[in-house]
Amino acid sequence: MLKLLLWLKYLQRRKVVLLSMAAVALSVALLTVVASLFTGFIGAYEQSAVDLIGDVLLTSRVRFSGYQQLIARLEQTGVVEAAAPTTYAPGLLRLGTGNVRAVEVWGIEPERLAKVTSLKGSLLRQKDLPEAPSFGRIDPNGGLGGFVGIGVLAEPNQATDRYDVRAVKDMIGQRVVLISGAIEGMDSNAPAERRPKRRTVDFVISDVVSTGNFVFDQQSVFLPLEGLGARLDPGSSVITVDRIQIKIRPGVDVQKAAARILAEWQTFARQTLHWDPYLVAQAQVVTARQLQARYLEEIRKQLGMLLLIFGVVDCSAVVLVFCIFYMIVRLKQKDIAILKSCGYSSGQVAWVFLGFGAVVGLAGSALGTLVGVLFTRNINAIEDWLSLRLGLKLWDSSVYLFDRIPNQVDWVSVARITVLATIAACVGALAPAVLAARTRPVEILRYE
Amino acid sequence: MYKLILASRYLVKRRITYLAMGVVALSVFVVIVVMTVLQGLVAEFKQRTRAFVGDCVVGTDSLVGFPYYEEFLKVLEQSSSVEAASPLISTYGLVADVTDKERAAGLRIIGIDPVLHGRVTRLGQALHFHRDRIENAFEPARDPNLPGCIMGVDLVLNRDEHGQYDYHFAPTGTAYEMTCFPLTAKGAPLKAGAGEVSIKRFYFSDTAHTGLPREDDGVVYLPFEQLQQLCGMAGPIPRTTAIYVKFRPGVTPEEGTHQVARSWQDFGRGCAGRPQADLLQSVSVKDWKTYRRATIGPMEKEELAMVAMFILVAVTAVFIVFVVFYMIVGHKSKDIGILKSVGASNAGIIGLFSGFAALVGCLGGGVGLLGGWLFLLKINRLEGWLFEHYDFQLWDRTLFAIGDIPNQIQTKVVVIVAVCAVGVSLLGALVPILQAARTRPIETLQVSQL
Repeated sequence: MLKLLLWLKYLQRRKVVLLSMAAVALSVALLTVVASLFTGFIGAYEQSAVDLIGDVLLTSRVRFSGYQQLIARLEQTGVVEAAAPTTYAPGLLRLGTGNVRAVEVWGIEPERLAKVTSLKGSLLRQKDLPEAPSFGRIDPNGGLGGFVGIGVLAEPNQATDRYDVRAVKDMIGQRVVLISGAIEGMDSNAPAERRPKRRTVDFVISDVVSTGNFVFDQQSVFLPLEGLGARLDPGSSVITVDRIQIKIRPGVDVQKAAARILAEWQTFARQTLHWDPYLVAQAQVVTARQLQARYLEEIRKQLGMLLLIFGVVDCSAVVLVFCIFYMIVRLKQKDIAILKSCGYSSGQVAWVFLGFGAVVGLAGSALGTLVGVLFTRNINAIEDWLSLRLGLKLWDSSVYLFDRIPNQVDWVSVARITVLATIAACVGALAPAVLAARTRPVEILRYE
Repeated sequence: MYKLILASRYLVKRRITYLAMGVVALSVFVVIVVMTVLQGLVAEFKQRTRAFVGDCVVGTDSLVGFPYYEEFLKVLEQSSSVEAASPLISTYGLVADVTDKERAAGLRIIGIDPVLHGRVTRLGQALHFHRDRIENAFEPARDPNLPGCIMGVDLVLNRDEHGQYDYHFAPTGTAYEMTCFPLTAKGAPLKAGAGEVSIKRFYFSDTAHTGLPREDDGVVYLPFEQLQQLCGMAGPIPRTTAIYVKFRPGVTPEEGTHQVARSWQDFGRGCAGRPQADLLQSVSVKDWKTYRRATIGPMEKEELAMVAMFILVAVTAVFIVFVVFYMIVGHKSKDIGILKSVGASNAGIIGLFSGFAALVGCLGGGVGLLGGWLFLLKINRLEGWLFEHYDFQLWDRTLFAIGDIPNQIQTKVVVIVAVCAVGVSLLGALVPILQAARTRPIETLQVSQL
């Protein structure tokens, strides 16, 4: 009880203690924000891959037919919830006179892909419709419908980093032309007979894709798998694909599921496609997280470095606590001597100051956590404000991929930082506490 | 004189001062190291960007391009501020190794006149086999008479863990089939419906290592005229997509760009009514920094954000200096009383403690700078040792186009950091100094206080 009274009295009387609390709070807030933003970015990056690709991606070096059989086999394994076939081709998209953009063209089955990825939620027109997404029948002439990335159609406003969604929606129904290439004579054994041919695909924009992933939105065009195949390879009646995007059942380990999918693929490729082992081995089965792993590892490394740098600098908070407690101990020597003369042991005296250090650390950490959490949660509003008032646009989707700053608080890091800050405050208070414990009442309280 | 003596004495006798100095030194050390590395990276990136684009770009984002560029090149040649100008075509196409056509990749294809381009940019230094012989850049080693292509280095070679390429593995002799989609001046496919593309085979002649990841990993260079043919820009009214410009020494990019922009406006007005003149409207004139703002801007902002964070960190250093000086002034109240009683003025006391604070800042800053300099001097060796023994690299060189960690300390940074160190000390000491100046000798020297 006496300790509590003394702590309260010191807090009340020695306002300088508030400085140490502020320093601890500042350090905790800074580290909380840095850790949360980086962890949030890493999480958003990983989630973005899952949203766009699914949990697992099977890619083959060579296009293959019979993918329906493969999907049926995969769905029978019990680990796959849904799978969608896709195919990829680079191309040029002509939006209007003189307006030609380089794009990545994806042949998809929208209904299936929507079960694997977050495609439906990213379609501006169809996201709120109850039925599954489709390329629709917007074109009265019965031509192809296609989805186009929002960034292909427009540039975000430089000041706000936002797209003019209304203007983009007005482009739905517009007819555009895709120019792509296909290799003719792939069946031929003589490579010289294989020649690229230009293919033009007219289609109507039936919806606009806005995933929030800048790069993806800026270069993606989706067309019906069947329609694209027929136009790129008009001589063939068989639809071929080069990738299968897969969603794993909830609760199933994705790594184990990927191994199972690989085994199924190998069996399928050997038995159904009659591929040689070399070609079979050319296919890859990777999880969405594995695709990002190397880059994210580097981001984690940068986070570690930043936390180390700020952690080292924040050691000065320990020095501050030491200075302030040293000052208090020097000023309160008479109090200490009286406590000792009343029967307090050296350990108990030391504990008064160590405990006080812990209180300062805890209070500072709590305040710092509060500030850090509030800052992190509201970082988009703060950034918007800075952008509007000072013209300082710190976050740009073209650089950081996402249109919003990930603002999830990393509570694990917050807990670690809080514990470390409290320990640091105790370390700062340790030497003054020892000094207080060694005080000899006879020297302090003598008459002279 | 007494100020100097007392300040030195306090510094030596009051060991708590070392803590303030230590914190200032630590802060300065961290700031100088981090800012040097960060600024070095930004400066290096800017340097590489400028080496790639020259000083100014007259260009359009449309793949259709714009006409009458040859006439404008003549206008530029006559300009007193322009040293050289080079037309450039930037388009996209399919690039495939002829032995593996199915694995065609969609890449950016740039068409250049090597001699002109070498005068404007430093592409010559980015080449490996024709370094500083850019005029022969498109001559394949296999046969100089064959059409050659320069591949972005990361397209054909892998970086090792030290960020180096083994050019022994360069695909000399390899042929690539370039497939372009020729467009009319209206952006429509040329010969639409014929199912034809422009295809031509080029032979590997060199690699381009610009140090810019996007360019090294996604650009193929072809001779200007040949790409012009491939993408339908040749013909009676030839087109290009950009003109890169280099200014004469002494002309700043801003001044030069302003002049080129004026010339372009006049030129555009003069072309009004001519065929395809509407394509000139989409052309903009930008200095190199504005042209590459999308990549340079964020790096500069990150620098700014880091500075803001270090300002927050400096607050703690201010607190520490405050506490230390508060204690010293408290302990030395009698000294102050005596000084005042023998005639020292308030300004004298302020001078004494301000000098003391400045000394703390100078020494702390000096130690921090020295430590930072030594650390930066050894930083690459230290990283090498860490990589050798613990497999740790600050940046994975196989992933990032970063060479050595930048360790050239900028004089500007040193001056700013040193001034800030002294400023932080003075700011922290301000309140205790004023308190010292207000001390009344009669209160500190009365018998009861003694």
